[in-house]
Amino acid sequence: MTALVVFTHPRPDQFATALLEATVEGLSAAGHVVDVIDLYRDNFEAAMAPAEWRAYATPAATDTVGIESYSRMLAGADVLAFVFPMWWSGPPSMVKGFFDRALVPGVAFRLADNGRVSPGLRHVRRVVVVTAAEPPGNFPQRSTRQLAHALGRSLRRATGWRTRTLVCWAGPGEASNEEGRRRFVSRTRDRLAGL
Amino acid sequence: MTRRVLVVHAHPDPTSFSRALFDHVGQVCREVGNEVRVHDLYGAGFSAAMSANEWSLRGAAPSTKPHLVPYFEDVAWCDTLVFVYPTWWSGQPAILKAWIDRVLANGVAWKVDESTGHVMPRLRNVTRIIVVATHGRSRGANLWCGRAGRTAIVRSIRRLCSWRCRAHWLALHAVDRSTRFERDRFMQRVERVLRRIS
Repeated sequence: MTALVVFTHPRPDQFATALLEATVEGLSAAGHVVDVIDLYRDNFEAAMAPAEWRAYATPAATDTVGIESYSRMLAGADVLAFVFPMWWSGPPSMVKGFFDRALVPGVAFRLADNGRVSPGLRHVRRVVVVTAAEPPGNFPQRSTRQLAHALGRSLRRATGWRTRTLVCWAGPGEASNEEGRRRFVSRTRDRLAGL
Repeated sequence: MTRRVLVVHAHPDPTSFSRALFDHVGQVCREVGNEVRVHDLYGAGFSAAMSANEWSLRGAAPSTKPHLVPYFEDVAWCDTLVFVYPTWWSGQPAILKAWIDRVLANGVAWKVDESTGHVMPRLRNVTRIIVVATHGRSRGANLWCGRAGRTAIVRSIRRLCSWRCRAHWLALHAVDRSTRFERDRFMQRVERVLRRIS
């Protein structure tokens, strides 16, 4: 069993690093071989280039330089985990760029001639979202957790209907103090170890 | 009433329908006598990632990020924010998400009240938000996925604008299967809203 962790933080502080470690440890404890993609360390370009846009619905969509290694990692993953800080009630632009550019037709789904979409990542059994609220992410509180769930829902287009989503989410109250952060990190590790 | 309109646009292809909508928005706004400024993010080569340096300055004053100051000034200048973009994976394209992450920064869009720790709005100059979004998927599919793009703007950003700020959500769904007639009708709808608020 293989797990792919997509990690995003511009300058990983103690908390972000701890969350990544907890995710990796938890998934390892559950018996997965864990691969990590660190989008900032890879200097990932988040904006889709005009040439990629033109190639999007063609077989050339998978040829983009810098994406091939991600495609290979995605092709073997049973668990797909995202670890990021919540900015503006959603994932940072880097994560959005990973969706836009790495989850293209031919990798994440197949486009039939009649416009129908069939999932290409059916082997992904679980989508995991590990995220903590950050200012100004501490509002509106009612929607942030829903949006983390929404990530899993839109991903079902790529992973198929049977994939389940696990959201480990720290609200502003929990993410803003040392004690709450520690609790969240250990809870995340335990929940992932149970997968 | 003359409005000060800031149009933010993100589409990689200059021949796209989204681009045509963007051009049309600018044209209509100028016709009715509004002042218009545009942020064409692909055209401007806007960086789609918040840098480590910007991250460490997230609590600092806006003037500490001189490369973003022109963007900050436009945001503080406008009273109408218009977003024209395609919806990808039920949200804004990464480059537009980066605009939200980077430009709507501390001291520009919001400020944390020292005594209470609450986020205080700083975009009180904005009284209208207009979103012109195209969707590849149907309305129902977008609804089921939680409408992340809509929530980010209509809830999160509007919360920082004027208390009487209204948001107009103009969406064309299933754009890949749309006919010429539907696209023209959508363009007219956008034009109608722009003329009505001016």
